[in-house]
Amino acid sequence: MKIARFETFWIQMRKNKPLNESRKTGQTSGTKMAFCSIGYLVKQVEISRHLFLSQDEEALVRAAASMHMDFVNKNANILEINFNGSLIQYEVLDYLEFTSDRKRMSVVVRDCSSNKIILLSKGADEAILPCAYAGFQTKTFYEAVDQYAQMGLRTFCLAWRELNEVEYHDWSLMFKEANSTLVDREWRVAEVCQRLEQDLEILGVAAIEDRLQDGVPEAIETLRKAGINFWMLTGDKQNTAIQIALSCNFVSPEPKGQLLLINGKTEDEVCRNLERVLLTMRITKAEPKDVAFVIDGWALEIALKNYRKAFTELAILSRTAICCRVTPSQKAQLVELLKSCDYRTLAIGDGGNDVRMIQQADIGVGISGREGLQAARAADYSIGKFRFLTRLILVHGRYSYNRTAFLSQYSFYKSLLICFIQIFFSFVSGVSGTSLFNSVSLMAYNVFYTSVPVLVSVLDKDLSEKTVMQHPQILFYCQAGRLLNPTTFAGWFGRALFHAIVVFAITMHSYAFEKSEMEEVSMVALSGCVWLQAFVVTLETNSFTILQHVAIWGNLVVFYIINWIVSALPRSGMYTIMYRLCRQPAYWNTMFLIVAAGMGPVLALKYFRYTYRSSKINILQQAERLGGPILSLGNIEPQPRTLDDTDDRSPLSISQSKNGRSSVFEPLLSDSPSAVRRSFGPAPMARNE
Amino acid sequence: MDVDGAAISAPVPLRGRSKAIHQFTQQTLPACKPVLTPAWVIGTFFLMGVIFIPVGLISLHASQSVTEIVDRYDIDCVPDTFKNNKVAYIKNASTPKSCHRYLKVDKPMKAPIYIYYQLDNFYQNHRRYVKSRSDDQLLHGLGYNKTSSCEPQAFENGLPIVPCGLVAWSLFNDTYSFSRGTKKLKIERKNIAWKSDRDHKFGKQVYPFNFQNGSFIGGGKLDTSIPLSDQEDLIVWMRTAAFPSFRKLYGRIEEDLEEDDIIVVHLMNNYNTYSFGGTKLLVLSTSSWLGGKNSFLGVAYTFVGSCSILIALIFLLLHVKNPRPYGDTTYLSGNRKDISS
Repeated sequence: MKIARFETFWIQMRKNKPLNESRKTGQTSGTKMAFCSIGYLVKQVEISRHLFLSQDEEALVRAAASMHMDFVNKNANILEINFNGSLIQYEVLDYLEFTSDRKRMSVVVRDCSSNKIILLSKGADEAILPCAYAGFQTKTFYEAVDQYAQMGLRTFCLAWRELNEVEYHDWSLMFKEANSTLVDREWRVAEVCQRLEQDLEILGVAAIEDRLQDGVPEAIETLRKAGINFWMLTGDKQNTAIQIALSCNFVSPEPKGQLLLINGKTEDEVCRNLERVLLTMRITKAEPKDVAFVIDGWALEIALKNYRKAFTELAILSRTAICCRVTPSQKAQLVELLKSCDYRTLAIGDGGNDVRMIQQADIGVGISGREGLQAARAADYSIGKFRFLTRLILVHGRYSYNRTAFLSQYSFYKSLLICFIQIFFSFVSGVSGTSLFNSVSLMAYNVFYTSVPVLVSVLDKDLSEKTVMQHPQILFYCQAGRLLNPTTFAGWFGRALFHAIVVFAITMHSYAFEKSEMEEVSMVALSGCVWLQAFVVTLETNSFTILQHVAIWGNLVVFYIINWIVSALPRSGMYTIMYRLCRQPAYWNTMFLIVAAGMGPVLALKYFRYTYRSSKINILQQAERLGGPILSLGNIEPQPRTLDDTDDRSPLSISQSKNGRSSVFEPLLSDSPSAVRRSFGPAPMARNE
Repeated sequence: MDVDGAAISAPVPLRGRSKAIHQFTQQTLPACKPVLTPAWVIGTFFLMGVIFIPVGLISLHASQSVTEIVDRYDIDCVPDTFKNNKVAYIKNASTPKSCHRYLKVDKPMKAPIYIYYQLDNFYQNHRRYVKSRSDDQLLHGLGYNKTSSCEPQAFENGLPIVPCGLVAWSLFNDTYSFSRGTKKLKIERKNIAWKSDRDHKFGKQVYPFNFQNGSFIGGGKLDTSIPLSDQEDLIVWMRTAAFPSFRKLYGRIEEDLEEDDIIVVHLMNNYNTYSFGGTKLLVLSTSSWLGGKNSFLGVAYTFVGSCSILIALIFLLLHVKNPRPYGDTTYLSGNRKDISS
């Protein structure tokens, strides 16, 4: 993923209104300056401490710059700010860092010209507003916050306070002490900070617009079609989160969709809400309505602690959920909860606060971008934009599944083939454990003869990328484990058994009596296996590139070359054997007989299923390759509540996790929907009770 | 990066090698994507049938053209007095072992006629038996003394055995001679072993030593004046068989045999197969391009060919009765229910 190709998030700050608010409360241009400088200072904290730039800070700095406040320089702890042409210097005294528990951050600075000590705070509204000095009218601020949230903007409050020297000096000592404690430092520091961050004078409310990346609504839509459920976990306020969810198609507006809120500060309230939402969910389960529930961090805490069972049921029932005001650890808890429901989860996020969730999920995807690389580094996969998730899952994930399914089962097949032959041979060798094959052949069989042809299956594509993107429903086959499950494994097992019987019986009978020389029989059986596996790989390959042909047929040629070379060494046990065999018409007759008898039934069965019991993959293959019109697939399988998905939206980040349950197997001979329903029917029901 | 891979094809046109590498790494190599169309599959099965049935018939004919006389002699060659105790008979060195068999030639046999002895229920492929030999000793003789694999037939009376091991120890030692009427049939006993074995596996300077000198006598003895590379019976015997029923070459008759000839076999019934329930057969056989008389390949080919034709017919019938337009979703398993309901 190349960072240079990423577009930056579009962030813009609505600067006017907060300033108006501050004017109303009687602030002067001095506070305006102070307010703006917070942006700088806070930014400096970030830069100097973490060396990365959060988009919040960047937006603030830009907004400040548009008000003629330019950050000029930083010398040691002295910050120089150019305000309307005049240079102002601040000395930074202390950083009170941001934690997700405190939900605010502060900085203590000394104005170098007036020598005043100022505390500047920035944080979530519920973290800042209660700290206002007694008698301060916060009502207007709450209104402003709500107003911004309705617009889908991320809000925070700014506040300040002048400190006198003595107060600061005393506090500074405590702060240093707290910072150097060994036990419970975080808690101690928070406590000390709390002492300073009070009696604040609220400066104003700022809001940041967090533009969605390109293609997010489309990506969500496509992935939904692929049977993936989304949960959005975000640190934003409820209103903000809902607005954003609406704007990215995450939830549908009324009347198509319905949002169920779970709020409440007390256990009773949460319990009541939860029961009500659950009831609604059960009733609307059958309706084709998009029902989503919204829960906030506090209620979630209570629900997870006291009503875990009910909440789990809710999680299973709902295909969409929004969790707002959640902390990083709650995100991780939620993912864990969904994992425990037997869901496959994917978490996607771009911020540092998504790291725990990303690590907790089955699959972690990080978006590397302006928000920094923390999430990307913690993730299994790192992508540049949210919309690439579609391609990651539908194209690469799907191919990867198909190839892994084939490779693993084929590996069992080829080893079983040799093993079964050895077992059969032991019955004609007095069950003494004689190996029919010599040691060189046994080694080379796994290392050369059967490994190369199957290695190029990394290039195999059953459907073209375009087709897959057009028909995301096809992902169902992967989610349901249709290509790798006990039934398909049994198929490969049976094939190995059948082929072993074919090879052994034909070898034994055509090389009976005067031809039954051990080394010759051994090479006949081995050649039979190698021939068969070449055709098995051929039959299972969906698209042949030049490499496939080279690997499959070249491998067969190499088999003979290797054996001719070994047969040329007088010291080797199989001296002259291969030359001898290749001159015998009976040998070649035996080979063709093995191939025909071994592959005929397999081909017939495959053709029958391909034509008369087609899976959706087959249909798409036929349409794609014969150039026919690709008809709509309609509803692929009864869309089960097999998949759930968590989407997560944290400050300026979109994170998401996605889950799939996989209990659906493809029956060996038929993939009729009844069989499918049978296999996954009971599982969700059991959970409903 | 782009959704449909458009971005991959768009930029800078690449040439030659770098293009191929690019296509490989982006997994966009041009690919042939075969579809299992009815025409293709039915055609394949038909073709298979059309090729296999004639090949099968030719193979059957080759097998039929081989004439073979098989005679089991291990029971009849035991004198009546020993019928109940064959092991005692064969172990007793003083009992006469010679025996006569009369073979009638049903069909004329063209030279060369191969003489095989066949042993049944003899597990030459048993793990401990197979390993009980020393290829290095066979090639280098007494100079090579790491013969631990040969135990318990590595040393006798403190002296090494050449050739060591159970395989050599159990050497087959029945002998046959043939006469037609009063005239003796000449048997060619040279060149019955593989040339490669004589030249590269058995030493020209290696002579049998201390062989079959112990208390347990296994099979035949060897002439100590002949080097191992010329002991062709031993070389043939040491090529162990993969199945418990096998034939080994004894010699060739270089004369044609006429129909209704009576061949008298003078044989020495020395080899002990009685103690383990084995059987001994004498086989006279001509040969064809496919080898000896073995109708398996012919029958199997014909069978597989017929099955192919049958499968082709079934699929053809299915296709005609029940045509499936490809890419049509009507018959999708998921939709079938909708049709029926």
